[in-house]
Amino acid sequence: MKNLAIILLVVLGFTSCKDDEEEMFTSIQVNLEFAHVLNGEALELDGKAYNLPSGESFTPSKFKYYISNITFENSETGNTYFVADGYYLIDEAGKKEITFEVPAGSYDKLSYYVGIDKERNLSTDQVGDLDPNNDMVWSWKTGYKFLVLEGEWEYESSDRRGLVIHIGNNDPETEVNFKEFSFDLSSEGLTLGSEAMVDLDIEAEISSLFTGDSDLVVHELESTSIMGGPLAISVANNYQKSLFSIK
Amino acid sequence: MGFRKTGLLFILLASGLSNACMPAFDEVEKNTPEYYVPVYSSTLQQNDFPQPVRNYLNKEGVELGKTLFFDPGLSANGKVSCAGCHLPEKAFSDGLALTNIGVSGLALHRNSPALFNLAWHDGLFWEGGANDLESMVFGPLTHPDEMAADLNEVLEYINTHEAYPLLFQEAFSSDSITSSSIARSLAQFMRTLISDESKYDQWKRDETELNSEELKGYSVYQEHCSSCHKEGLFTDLSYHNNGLDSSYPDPPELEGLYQGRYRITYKDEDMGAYKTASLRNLSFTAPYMHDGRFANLEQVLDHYETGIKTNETLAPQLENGIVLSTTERTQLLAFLNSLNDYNFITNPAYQK
Repeated sequence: MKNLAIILLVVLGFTSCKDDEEEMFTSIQVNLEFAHVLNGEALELDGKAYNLPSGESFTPSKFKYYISNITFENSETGNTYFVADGYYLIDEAGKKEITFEVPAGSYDKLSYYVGIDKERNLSTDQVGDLDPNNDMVWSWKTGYKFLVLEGEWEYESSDRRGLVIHIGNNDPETEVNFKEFSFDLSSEGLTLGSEAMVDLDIEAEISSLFTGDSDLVVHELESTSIMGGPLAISVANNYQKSLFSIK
Repeated sequence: MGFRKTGLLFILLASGLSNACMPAFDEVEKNTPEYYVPVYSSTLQQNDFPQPVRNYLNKEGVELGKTLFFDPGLSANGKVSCAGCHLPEKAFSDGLALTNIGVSGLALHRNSPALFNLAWHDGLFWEGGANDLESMVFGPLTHPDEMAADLNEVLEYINTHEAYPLLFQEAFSSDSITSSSIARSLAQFMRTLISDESKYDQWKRDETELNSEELKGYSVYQEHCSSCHKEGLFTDLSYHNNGLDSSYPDPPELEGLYQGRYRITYKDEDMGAYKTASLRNLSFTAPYMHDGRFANLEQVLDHYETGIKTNETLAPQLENGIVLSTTERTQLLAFLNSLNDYNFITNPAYQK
């Protein structure tokens, strides 16, 4: 009798699985896990020095950024799922993993933005990860810092000096520094749909801020406090090319 | 209201709540905020009273904002309130060029601006960097040389305060107090600071008359000042380089502070430009300019007559300065005096 019960359960389980895979769960729990590296080495904020692409030395003290407007897409059917109200602060010194539910289905593309869209960036009296107590708003102009990298740089001397990179965009006319990142999950063998829980490991390479269309040589900069204007645009254009990769 | 009451009652009954829970019903009903649009004079020449959909004025929110405005407990050392630098009797300015009463004791780089008729400003701060009053609040609240508040500590202070939790509940119908609700209530209070009871306003409304000197001064104003200090609010709410400096240094630690509106827009034409100050309430708001460099109106008029520093971003209206005869200057000053609103600075609604 006991054996029969087991056989029945196995058969039933097998049948329902075979009949319709996607009926087994109504949503997929997606965990995005972010890891940060600089020049290929794991990021530490405790005084460790790294080499920038320019060869200059850099000791990071802060690295954080907003991920928002996350979208999953099935490129064949055009079916998409948009994570509504999804604004997540990723912080090397804090949260590096985010979790949300996506309706069951097959998705082979993932995209998200670094930063905050125009509509949400026009005021800062907001809650959750957008609460201004997260040290990601400017005090003298309204708007969120999309990405922050701070530390000290050194070049041919023992004098360390501050490097401050705050990328945002306060200009309501454009969203120039609000950058989209897209990933082809199928080519990584990571197409969503067959499992109820998925971990996606994403690596951010900080060197990408310093190379690309405009290579940054820190000691040649007029100011090592980059908070806006053409230089911030260059940095954002740089990192849009290669900040993230799926591992 | 009647419908809402019925609906609420129905929900409560449907939830199977016992009579013991009925006091909660009364509380909820009492806590519904009373929304309103303030009355203002036609002499401000404004068609409507702009306020964000997410933060309409309500009686409770304004009252809470006022309490917060006068509370030094929000600051890091418990000694600096908003009102410390924005005094009602000075039309919410402070009479100092560059105050140093902030938490760090260091002098600021900006003159504390007067606060009135702000509902119509779409850019706050001297260079207009803040988009609305709600967002603006976080600047002075957290700046180390001003109130130096850690927002998480402010929330703890408010949440453990004997009076605030109920006041927030009444204003926002929510038990959760956030940085944003603090900013919103302060913004509500500031939006109610309306100055429209000067002699000029009464004259425009045919309630009084200007004397002949004031009337002549009005003509001088119209000819020489009104293009930027536009009648009504007496500011065009725009940004101009009025010839204060010929060049604009940019030390990295000051984050473009001497560049004026350029630090916000990165547009060349905004270099050295600051928001046009209102000509209302000038008797209460000396010293003048974004850095308080002019102690009195004579100095301001001297600047416009002989002190203009010319460069490529200078406001074109000022290329030849503003040259007035001694008589015209006296007449202009008489008219400017008619823009002082004594009701505004003594209005009980704005006092602690």
